[in-house]
This record gives sequence, C-alpha cells and structure tokens, in this order.
Amino acid sequence: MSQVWNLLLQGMVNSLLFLYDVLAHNFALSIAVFTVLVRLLTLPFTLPAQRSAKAQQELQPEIEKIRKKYAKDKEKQTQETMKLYKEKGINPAMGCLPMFLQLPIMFAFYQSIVKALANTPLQMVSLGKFASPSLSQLVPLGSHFLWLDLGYPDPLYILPILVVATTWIQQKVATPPSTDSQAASMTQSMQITMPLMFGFITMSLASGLAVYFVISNLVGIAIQYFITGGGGLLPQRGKKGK
Amino acid sequence: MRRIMTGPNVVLWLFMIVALLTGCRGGAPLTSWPGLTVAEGIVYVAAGAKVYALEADTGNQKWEFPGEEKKGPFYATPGVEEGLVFVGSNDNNLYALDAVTGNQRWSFATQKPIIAGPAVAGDTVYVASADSKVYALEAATGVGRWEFTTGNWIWATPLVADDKVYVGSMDHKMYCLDAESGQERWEFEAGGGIAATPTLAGDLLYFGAYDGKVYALDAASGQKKWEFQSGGWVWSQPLVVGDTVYVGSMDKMVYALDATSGQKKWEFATEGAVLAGPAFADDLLYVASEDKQLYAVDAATGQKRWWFTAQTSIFAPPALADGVVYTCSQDGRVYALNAGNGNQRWVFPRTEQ
Repeated sequence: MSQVWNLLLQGMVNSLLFLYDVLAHNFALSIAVFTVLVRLLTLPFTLPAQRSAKAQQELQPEIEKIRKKYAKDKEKQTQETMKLYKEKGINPAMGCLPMFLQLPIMFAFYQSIVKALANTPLQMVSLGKFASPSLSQLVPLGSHFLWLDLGYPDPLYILPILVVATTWIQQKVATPPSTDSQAASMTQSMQITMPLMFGFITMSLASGLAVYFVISNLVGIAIQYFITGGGGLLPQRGKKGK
Repeated sequence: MRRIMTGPNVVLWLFMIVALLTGCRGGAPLTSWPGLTVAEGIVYVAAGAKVYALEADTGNQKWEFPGEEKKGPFYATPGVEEGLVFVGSNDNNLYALDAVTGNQRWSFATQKPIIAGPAVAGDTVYVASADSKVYALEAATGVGRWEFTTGNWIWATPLVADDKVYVGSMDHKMYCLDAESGQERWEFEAGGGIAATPTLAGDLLYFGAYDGKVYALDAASGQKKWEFQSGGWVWSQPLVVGDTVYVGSMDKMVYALDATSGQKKWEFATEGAVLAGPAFADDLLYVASEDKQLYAVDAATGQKRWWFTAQTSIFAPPALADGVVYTCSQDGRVYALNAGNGNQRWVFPRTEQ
C-alpha cells in the first residue's frame, strides 16, 4: 500500500517539477496550473456528488412536505423520504462515496507541494528520494514569487485573507438556501467558522500551500457554479421569472 | 448537518486534519542533522538544540551548550581549533565556544540558517550560510574580514587548502576563492545543486552534486578531469585514499572510483541513502547509512567486515581516533565503537530519554 502511495507522490512531485521547468521556473504558476489540472482530472469523482446534491436540493420542497406530514413519526418520515429518493432515482450515498475516492489524490497533491518546497536538509533528503534524476537539476526550486517566499508563511497575511474569502464563497456556492431554519442557522455558523479556521491555519503554513488553497477554491467555485448555480450566494438560476 | 458535511466541505475538513497531523509548516525544521568532531580526547557533538563535549574514552559529559537559553537546532558539524569550538546554528548564528568550559566567546549573525560546518585555517574561520554567502571571520573575535556572495543557499562546508577556499553552492557552482581576500579565482558549473563538501587530493578537487555525479576538477584551473554518474544525489564528501576515491550516494551505494580516471573499482550496497562521507583507517572503510547501520568495509574489495546497528538512521560522517570509531545517529545518540570489530564501548546518553 505504501508503495502505491509513494508512486502517486512520486508522480505528482515530478509533475510539479516538470511544470516548474516549462513554466519559466515559476513555482507559484506551477502550483496554480497543477491545481487546475488535478481539479479537472478529479471531476469524474466530484461531479456525481455535486449532481446528487443538486438533485436532493431540488427535492427539498417535497421532503419538507413529508417532514410536516409525518412530523410525529420519524420512522415513517425516513421511509417516505427514501421512497421519494428511490422514485426519483437518487442514491444519497452517491454524494459521499466519490468524494472519499478522490481524497487520496488530494492528499498526495498536498504532500507533493510540501515535498517540492523543501528548504531544510532533511526535507531535501526526502525530496531527493522522489525527484527524477532528469529533473534534479531544478532543485532547489526558486521559491520567490512577488512578495512571497513560497516555502514560508505570507508575511503580509494577504493569502490567508484570500483563503478566507474564497473558502467562504465556495461554501456559499456549494450550500443551497435551506428551508429548515435550524439547518440554516447551523449552516450559517459553519460558513463563518470554517473560512476563519482555514485562514488562521494558513497564517502558519507555507504560502505555496495557501496558493494551492486559493486556486483550488476558485476552481471549485467555478465548477460548482456551472453545475448547481450560485447556491446561497446568488439567486438560483431558473427561478427568476417564475 | 448533512448538507454541511457533504461536497467540498468534507475534503476541506480532512485536508485540515492532515495538515495538522503531518505538521507541514513551511520553514519549520523537522529536527537537526547531528554531527561530531573528535579533537584532543574530546568528542564535540552538535545534535538537536545542544552542543555537547564528551570524554572520548568514557563518553562522560564535560559540558553542554546552551544552558537555559534556546538556540539551534544544529545541522552543522562543529569545528575545533585553538581552544575554540565553532558551530553553526539554524538560528542563523555561528557560535564560538570555549573548548574547555563550553562558554560562549562570541557569535556572528548571518541572514539565514547555517547548515554548513565551519572551516578553520590559521587565525581565520570560514563559514557559509543559507543566505548564499561565505564569510571569513577572525577566529579569536568573530570580526568579519570578507564575504563572498553566490547565487543560492550554501549548505556545503567550505574546504580551505593552499590559501584557497573551495565551496559549493546550491546555484550548481563550485567556487574557488582566495583565502586572504575572498576574490574569486574560478568557478565550475555542475548539473545540479552542490551540498557536498569537496575534497582536495594532489592536484584534483573531488565533489558530488544533486545531478548524481561525482566530479574531479583540476584544482588550479577548475577544468573538469572526469565525472562519474551515480543513481542518486551525491551529498557525501568524497574520501581519497591512495589512488581511490570513496563516495556515497542517495542510490544507497558506496562507490570506489579510480582517482585519476573515475572508473568504478567496486560498489557496496546498503539499504538506505548514504549521505555521509566515509572514514578510513587500517584498510577499513567506515560507511554510515540511512538504514541505521555503520558498516566496516574492506577498502580494497568492498567486502563487508562488520556492521553496527543504531536505533535510528545515521546521516553524520563517522570520526576516527585511537582505534575507536565515533558515530552519531539522527536521534542524537553518540556511539563509540571498537574500530576493529564494532564492539560498543559506550553510548551517550547512557539512559533512555
């Protein structure tokens, strides 16, 4: 298992190094391009989840009716909801499974960025085991981009702010407006705490990883928008004029 | 709640957990790269955030540096000369310590961590820093004499010989500088970053690079005489004994090469990367490996004679004195072994910590 993991890491580290080589030795650009490529390659995993979420979202009014109708009988409520899903051909589990399948890829990508940004001897030893001999001449990577040293946290805290903003927008886009007031309140609270937590953690992470978070969020927002519309961020597509 | 924990949120949460668990913070060193030097019956060890002086015979500790204050961690092997111990630190400073007491005499601040060991010649100490510079300092006071700037980090310990300073940089270049003035005499561009300390033997300068090659240059002109391609990065300082160059590689091998032609004589396989330069005494070559072993190998044939297993990987070069081989593993343990058979004489620290 660890060999498969190492192979995946090796492929990603060398892909990053290759992009660095062809993109004018700009590692920030390499991270951005590779992030887009990985997000596109994992679309087959993420699309079913997002489509399933959209379908469930469209059934909300009917589910709400079931909730009201069987407010005192939770078992019946669940049975009727599942029956409705079955009738509409929706498998609620489809929302989660593909996401878990893509996780190893995302973790490997995350770790490969950390590896490529090696700036201590021990990190460099680790990189030396993964980098292909033909790409080793690129090491150490030029880690400076604008005001950033990509191996170190952003001293101006601009990237953490961007991480907060894009994480918030992505959550807004991904989360449909809820008709259930309790769920809506919980969602709203999460939509504030999650981006803030991410921003806080990014303050102490290598800024190269913050670049990854921002780009990944932007791609996620674009994909989500084209599939499900603006979610809670914008008025839902198709509702205008009804 | 289901809505909150579906879609990209799940990924984000798990990412955060992994980030926290793996501790992948930029710029934060994971640990140190211990190194040791033996001089006049004392083993000077830089490991973790401490420098220790141990009696070579017994392993008894004479002093440690620093006391309560926080300094380090130390990646560099200490240098000892004229009653002073010089040690570079990841906190950007070179410290000069009294060899008898361990008290700090002076410190010199660079702009970035000091990964390389110091080189001392006469009354001058030469230190290289990750700020891309080589500094020449007055050994007694730490007052700067000259500095020379390269194009990238310097992690390799400079070599001082024949009034010249040879130093490799991560900008792929080996520089030859005038030891007195710091003026550049020549430079040679390798195919990868240079983190290995060079070795001078006769008229040739030998060193390895991240392109996996071992180079031999004419020391006077910097002209390449030969190169040897290994299967991994070469971080180990070459050792020249007679007409043979011994060098380790991250491809887990130790190579014996003909010093004049670069032709391979034999190779010895370990189970891990060989990052440390080998040591030699009485026809035996001592090789430390990431596989936790210190091997004693017949220098003529490459046959394994004995081996010693430490508790963790060994990245530091072994040191030899009076029939004893000293080695330091990545957990900071120092082992004194009988050079002839590998029997352990002492280990520091004595108790489990």
